[in-house]
Amino acid sequence: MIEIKNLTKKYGAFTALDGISLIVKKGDIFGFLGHNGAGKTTTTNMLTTLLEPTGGSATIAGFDIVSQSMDVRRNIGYVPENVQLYDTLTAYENLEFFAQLSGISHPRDAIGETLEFLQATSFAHKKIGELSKGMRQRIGLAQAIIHKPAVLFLDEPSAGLDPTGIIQLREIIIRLNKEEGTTIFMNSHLLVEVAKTCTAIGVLNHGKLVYTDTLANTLKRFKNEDSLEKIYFSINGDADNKPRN
Amino acid sequence: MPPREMIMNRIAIIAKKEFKEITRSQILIYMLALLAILTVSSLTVSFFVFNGQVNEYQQSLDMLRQLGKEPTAPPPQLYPLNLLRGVVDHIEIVGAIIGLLLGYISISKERNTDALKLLLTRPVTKKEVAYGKILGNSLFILVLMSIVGITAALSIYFIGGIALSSAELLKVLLFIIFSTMYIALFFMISFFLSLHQRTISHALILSFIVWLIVVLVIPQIGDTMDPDNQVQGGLFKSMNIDKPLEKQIMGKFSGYESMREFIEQLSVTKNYERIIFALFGIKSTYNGVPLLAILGDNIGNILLLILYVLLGFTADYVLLLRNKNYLGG
Repeated sequence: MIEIKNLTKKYGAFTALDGISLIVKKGDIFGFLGHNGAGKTTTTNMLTTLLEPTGGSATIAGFDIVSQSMDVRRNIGYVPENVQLYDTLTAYENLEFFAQLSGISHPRDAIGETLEFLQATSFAHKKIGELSKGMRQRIGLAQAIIHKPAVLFLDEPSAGLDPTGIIQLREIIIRLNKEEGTTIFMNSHLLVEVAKTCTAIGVLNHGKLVYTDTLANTLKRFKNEDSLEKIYFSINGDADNKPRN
Repeated sequence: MPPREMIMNRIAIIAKKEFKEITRSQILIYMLALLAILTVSSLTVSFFVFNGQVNEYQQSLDMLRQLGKEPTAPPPQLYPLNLLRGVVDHIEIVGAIIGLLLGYISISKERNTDALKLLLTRPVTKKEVAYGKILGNSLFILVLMSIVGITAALSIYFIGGIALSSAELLKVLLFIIFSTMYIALFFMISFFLSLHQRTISHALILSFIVWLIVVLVIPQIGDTMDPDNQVQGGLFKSMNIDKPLEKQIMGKFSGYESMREFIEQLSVTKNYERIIFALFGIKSTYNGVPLLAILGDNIGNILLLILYVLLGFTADYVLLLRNKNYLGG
């Protein structure tokens, strides 16, 4: 579903992403891990066509992120960290705007269905500026899935949410993956959440992909470590010496 | 390549969203209220001034008649559109600021948040985003100027008791169109700077510097260089020099006059002012002149106004397309 080959992003002399290669299979919930500044958001920005790579290539649902960016956009949904929509518009109006831009022929039906799926109908007619962080996050998610994308990108989706919000979001992600078959690519710092949600992981370190495998294989491989947190530090601790999978 | 209808549809969707957002922005609603109040108040003041002139004339007339003399000065003539001078001044200054704020808000609300990221991950091109934003904001400016035009016409009727003729209403319509173009240009200047500058607050400061130069400094230099402005009521008039002689004298300063003309034409405000002053007969030589003749006489200023608007549009368009990493500014 996502195929990345030698993807590179440089800003002058600084290399933000150093030739990463990766495959995310259809139906996976892929957890993309790494320290701050490791290059996770840069990767997501390129995969969502917001940034152009300086080298390498990537395809999403078979479409090239540079030469077929419009087709890629039709197949993806994106929820950035601290999602902020248009504050003066209501949640419904925001969704209507994104639904219409996505070319949905019956926006009203799609909005109703999405709001119901996310249990967000009760605050649909409130202005975004009046919503709590958790509610805004749900509307942010709603705009990303309203057109039923093949791939959903989530950048630190749990950031700033309270424990209830985190649990609700986790349930939504899993339901979305199971019921709609959506492939999910998720940047996260919360390793506990990744362990509970993801089916595969990748670890970035200073712009380099130092590890990638399914979660099941990872747990088997690092069976002496009792948590993903310890596994993560084990991978990242001597990242330069670890072979790439 | 998507069909033309789909592209037009997406532009319309973005324009509609922009329009809806502006109408809910409190700061712009206050601006609109301010402009409406300024329109009514400046018209009221103009009527009082005109009534004062009429009363003064009537008193002089009575006095002359008591002395057994006949008046030689003609009575003050009322050209209702002349009374809109204050409104034109307000649009030159406040209207330009509204344009700047619209451009700034249009970009900053998305650049300061992740809404821009969401927008650019939808199947929409930067070209469509630019067209949609410019269209939505221009429509708002058109509505704003229509409100000002209608308020002015109604104020003339209700305060002065004068119904505008169809020819005068046509001039008000042209005023709405030219004013929309004028304010839209300031929107595009601010839009350009907000896209171009890495820090959005710098864009706002730069926009106000441009406003200061274009709206206040350049026209002021032009006015200061005008010899006829050196004495209140006009230098030549105070010296009892008639128009042909004035032209003869000024002919000897053609280089100086060309320079002054060039400086004034650099300011879109001066071009706009000349067009509207001619249309409304605020420049008295245009009172009673047919509309086509007025437009023909000011075709240079009209073309320059259009050229400035087109340049603003092209600059925005090219910058948005060239800026591959629009996110970073």
